Amino acid sequence: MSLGNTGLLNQDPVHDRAPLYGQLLHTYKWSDKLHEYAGVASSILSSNTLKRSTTMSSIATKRLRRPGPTIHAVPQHNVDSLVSSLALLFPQEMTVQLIRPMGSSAILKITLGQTLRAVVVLRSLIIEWVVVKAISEDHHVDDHKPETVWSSSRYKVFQKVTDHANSAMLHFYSPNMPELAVKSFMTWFRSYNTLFSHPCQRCGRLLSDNLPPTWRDFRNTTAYHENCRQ
Amino acid sequence: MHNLSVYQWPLPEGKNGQQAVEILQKRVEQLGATKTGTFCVDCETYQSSLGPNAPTKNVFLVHNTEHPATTFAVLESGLVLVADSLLDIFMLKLNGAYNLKKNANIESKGQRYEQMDFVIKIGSVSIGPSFKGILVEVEYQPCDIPASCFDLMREFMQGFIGPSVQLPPQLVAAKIAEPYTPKDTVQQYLDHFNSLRRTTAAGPPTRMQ
Amino acid sequence: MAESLSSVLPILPAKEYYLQGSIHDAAKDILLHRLRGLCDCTESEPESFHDHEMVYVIRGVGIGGVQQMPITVRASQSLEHPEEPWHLRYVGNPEASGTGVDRSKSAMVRTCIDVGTSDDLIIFLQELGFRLDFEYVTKGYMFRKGRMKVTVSKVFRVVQPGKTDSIEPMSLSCLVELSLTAPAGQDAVADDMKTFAEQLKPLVQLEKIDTRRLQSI
Repeated sequence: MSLGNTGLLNQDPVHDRAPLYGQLLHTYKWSDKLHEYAGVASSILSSNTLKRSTTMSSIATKRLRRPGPTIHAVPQHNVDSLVSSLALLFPQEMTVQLIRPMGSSAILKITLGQTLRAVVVLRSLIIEWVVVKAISEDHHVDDHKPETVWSSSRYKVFQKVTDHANSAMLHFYSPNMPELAVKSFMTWFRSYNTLFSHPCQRCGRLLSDNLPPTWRDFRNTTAYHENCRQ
Repeated sequence: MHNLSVYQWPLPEGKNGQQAVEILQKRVEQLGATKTGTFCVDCETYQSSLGPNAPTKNVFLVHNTEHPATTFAVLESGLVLVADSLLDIFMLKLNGAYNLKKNANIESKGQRYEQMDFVIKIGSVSIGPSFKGILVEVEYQPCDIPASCFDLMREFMQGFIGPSVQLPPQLVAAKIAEPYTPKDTVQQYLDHFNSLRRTTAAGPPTRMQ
Repeated sequence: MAESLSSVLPILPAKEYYLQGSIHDAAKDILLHRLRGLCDCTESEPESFHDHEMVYVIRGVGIGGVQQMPITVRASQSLEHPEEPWHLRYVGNPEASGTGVDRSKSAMVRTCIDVGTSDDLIIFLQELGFRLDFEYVTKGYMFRKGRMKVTVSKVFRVVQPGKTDSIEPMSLSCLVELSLTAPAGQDAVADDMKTFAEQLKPLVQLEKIDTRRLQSI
């Protein structure tokens, strides 16, 4: 890529230590990309009439008076301390790693023994999104590849487990005690460590429709096939 | 990275290779598995020529259609080198020290099936035109620790191979708690190839599709 | 075999065209700067490398105990990125048409096969019967210009065998190599290389150097 006359800077035979041209190109690319993203974002936002932020029309603010600070906004260090306590819950089986690729929302990367991996997206202390994948599947979540959070597993068994984990996330949802909700979810989720080896409580078999028991009871984490649960 | 077992399937009484493969294919299709193309695992042998005092060494080059850009080079010590498929050309350059053994190429070729997260491959093994036997490969893709999912695989395999499947293959059993790798697959095939090579052709020679 | 070969052959870069030269350490920075301007990817820093190269040799014995020509292969590993695949390389002797004898060709030509492998390459070669001939460490920068590759690297002697951290430089100069891999018979690319080499004069003189002749001097 060449930037008109500034390209001559690069041909300067005197080797100056300040990499002026490289920085210039970098800045140019950065601002170009920012412009492009802003354009795309604005077209998406303008076509979406459902607004979630409070700065919108005055009618909405009158009707929905917000009662003080909510659990949607808790300081980052509260989240950090919750996550570090999660890591200590089952140190043998479960490892929890916290990353913040997009600003303040936390993403937890959970590895459950040698069975599976999960990505949990938190909005302050509330679980918003859970994806379960195989150990061998790509779980590289960072700034460059955020889409791995949203894609689902290639394997049927983990697609099912993802579905069940999402229903569990709704079941355990409790805005008044968010920390307890996350911890109960994790305790329940840990039972998937034996996903491939724990037979169904009801039919006593491992396979049903060529899938292992993918359902775990919310209260006592007993394993069932999807069709075998009451 | 997926857990996999290869079994040799003995020919039923009075059937030739092709008929036996058809029986197995019919069973698998009745289970509801869908055809997903063909597969081939083949093996070439290179033999050393390092002088009368040096022991003869063999190098096996194994290709697997599941890893189309890879060549696995296996030594008799069990070492498996995973390399680009250009290794095939490289080995030809060692001509003089290592020479390709003529008429020793053995391959397992056949139909590949998928059912949910399972992959089934029914291959007929042949050296040149002569039929040697049938190998059935079953793979459970989501899990790579044999210890955690072999019971589940056994339940699945008994559905079409029969109750004869009880134990994991020796090689899998030896490191049942470790993650399974494509190297282990190559080693399993090679073991079967080496034992099939010693058997005389079972039934009349047949060419498989 | 025939099947697997034919599937590989169309993409097989069978020949390496190359020119070599050297530059004194003091002038290296100017050359690097010049290359940054001439080559692709000007906006980023040049790609650096730091490799451990081991040269292995094997000698086959034919029928009747006749000793064959020794076969030399190179195994190299990146010391900067040890997790990257190992590199196995076969390099043939320079072809007669490319040596100084034949003035019609613009670059040296040799057969070359590059194979990426897993990290047990050294044990593999040893078990095959190869023995280590010599080893060295290279450190330098790599540039690209279209299909051409330019490396400016310093060669280090390994003081203690196998210890890549105790090294000493071979000379006060850097090796400059311009190379390109292409299927056999594409001699036109050699002329492109010649043109490019002209642009680096007088900083560095890239020439056809027959190393076998140097040995016999």
